[in-house]
Amino acid sequence: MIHAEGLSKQFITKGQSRLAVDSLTLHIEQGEVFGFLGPNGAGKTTTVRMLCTLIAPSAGQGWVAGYPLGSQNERIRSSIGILTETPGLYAKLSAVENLTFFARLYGVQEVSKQIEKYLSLLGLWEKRQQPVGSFSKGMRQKLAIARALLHEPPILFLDEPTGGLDPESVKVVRQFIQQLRGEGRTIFICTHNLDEADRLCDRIGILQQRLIRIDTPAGLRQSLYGNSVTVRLASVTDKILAQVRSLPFIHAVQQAEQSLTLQVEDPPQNNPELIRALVTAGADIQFVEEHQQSLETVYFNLLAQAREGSRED
Amino acid sequence: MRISRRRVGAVVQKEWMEFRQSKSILWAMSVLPIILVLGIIGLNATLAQHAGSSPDDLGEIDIPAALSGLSPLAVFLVQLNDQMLVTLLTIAVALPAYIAASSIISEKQTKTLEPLLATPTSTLELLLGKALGAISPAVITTWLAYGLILVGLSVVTIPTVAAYAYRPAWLAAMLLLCPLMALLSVLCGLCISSRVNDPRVAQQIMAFLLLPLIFLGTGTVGGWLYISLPLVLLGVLILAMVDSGLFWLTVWLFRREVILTRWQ
Ligand SMILES: Nc1ncnc2c1ncn2[C@@H]1O[C@H](COP(=O)(O)OP(=O)(O)OP(=O)(O)O)[C@@H](O)[C@H]1O
Ligand SMILES: [Mg+2]
Repeated sequence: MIHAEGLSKQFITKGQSRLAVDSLTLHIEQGEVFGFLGPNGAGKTTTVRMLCTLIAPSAGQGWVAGYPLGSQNERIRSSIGILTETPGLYAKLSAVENLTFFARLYGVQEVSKQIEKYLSLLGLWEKRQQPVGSFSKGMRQKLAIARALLHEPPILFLDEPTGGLDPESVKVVRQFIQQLRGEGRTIFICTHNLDEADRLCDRIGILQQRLIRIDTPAGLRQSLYGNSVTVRLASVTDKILAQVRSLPFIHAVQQAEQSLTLQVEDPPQNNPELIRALVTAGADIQFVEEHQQSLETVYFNLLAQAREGSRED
Repeated sequence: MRISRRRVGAVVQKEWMEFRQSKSILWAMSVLPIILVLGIIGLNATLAQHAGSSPDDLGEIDIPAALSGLSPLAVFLVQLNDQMLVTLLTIAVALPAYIAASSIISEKQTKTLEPLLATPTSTLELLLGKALGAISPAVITTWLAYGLILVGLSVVTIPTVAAYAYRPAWLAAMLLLCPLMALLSVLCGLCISSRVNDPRVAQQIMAFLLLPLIFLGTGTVGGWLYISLPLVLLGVLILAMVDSGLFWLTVWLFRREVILTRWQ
């Protein structure tokens, strides 16, 4: 559905060139919800703009909905819906007038039926005749999402769909995305919200100019150190430490007074053996806790690694 | 290249809906023509009452050959009316320029350009829609004002003078020259505004477009220039060529990506 090979974008402003996206290669299947994470200026919006044919890549190739970027741009634009970073609505026109305009540009057949469907789904039907200038930020965002869907595109790009919204609106928008996912659409979401990416997305890509990592949320959490297990003991002796370090499935040992935090390869499988080994070494076990790494920790670690990597280059 | 009439129509309609909400455009569209219509009818009504007397002091100015059989007062009135009608044409130039210049720039400023460019609308369709959207209110206003002037003149002024206001030259000027001039101004507006980010700069540059009309107006009053059919048709021919060239230049200059990304 979405395929990119070595996609790059270089901006040249006032004679200075700046590489916004560096050889991005990725493949997104039909029906997949893909989360695009990365700090400010990572190149997320630039990538979306390239895939939506709004800007041309400086290098590399891409295919969206089966059409190549560059030569079939109008076909691609008909097959995608986009929520741009800023909603971009005509403030003087009403919600219905805004949507009618875009529906006609997209060649929607049943304009008023589609408008009613999406305004109702997003809770804006009552406000349909009001000028958009009088709308709150959340209402505008929802209206812009409705606009992206009027022509029932199989592929949807959402650039920060919940950015700057209150918790209630965030909930509405997230539920709505869940619902769209049920309809088999391919959804590409740029977000800063790790929790959101974790909950909504099948796979997550972390971008910092280059694509640092791409994996399922669960895979990402494990990718760095695997899962960690904390064991609290009556006391930690050298013998215990040596015993633990000798186990093949333990990747890292961190000691803090009476507790050991261990990176275990596969906790459910390895923990029984770990505990037997501890008991054999004379440990008095008080507590055993599993703690999964949060996606946030993984995210920060990956970014830190990437920064170090680029410094070494 | 296929042009979708539906999409062009959608753009035109959207432009119209936006004017409807724009007080400054509505004012410009109504006040100027009303002043002109009232001025031209009022002047004729006042002056035509002296048709019997023949004021000698009007004999000073040049009289074009086409007006040679008329009384000095009638000549004066025809020249006055011609000048007023030229002024009416300036509305058809100034108003679309104003609308077109604001049009693309305001889409940049309000960030509506990005979702707009993400639709399957081609550059040609977009610019055609914008051009027609900006021309139509001005041209329709001009025609309406011209119609009112003709009706008013037939009532208040000397019949021969009134007839000069709808001589073939003026009919051709209103029907052909006026839309072409409006198009010229719109195209300049679109061309400039896709490159410039401040609508005022675009509007100032376009004030130059009014120079030929000022020349025409001065010539008419001075009597050294007469608005004849060949002159108008020559103008139509030249403008048609300039307009079509400029249209392709505008489409060519409209680099979607540059317009979208230079605005930060
Ligand atoms: N039109 C432009 N001209 C020049 N540089 C640009 C332009 N657009 C983006 N950039 C640069 O490209 C880089 C990537 O920007 P981009 O907007 O894609 O980041 P982002 O990941 O979407 O960030 P954010 O999370 O803040 O939205 C940034 O360094 C930015 O300064
Ligand atoms: Mg962004």
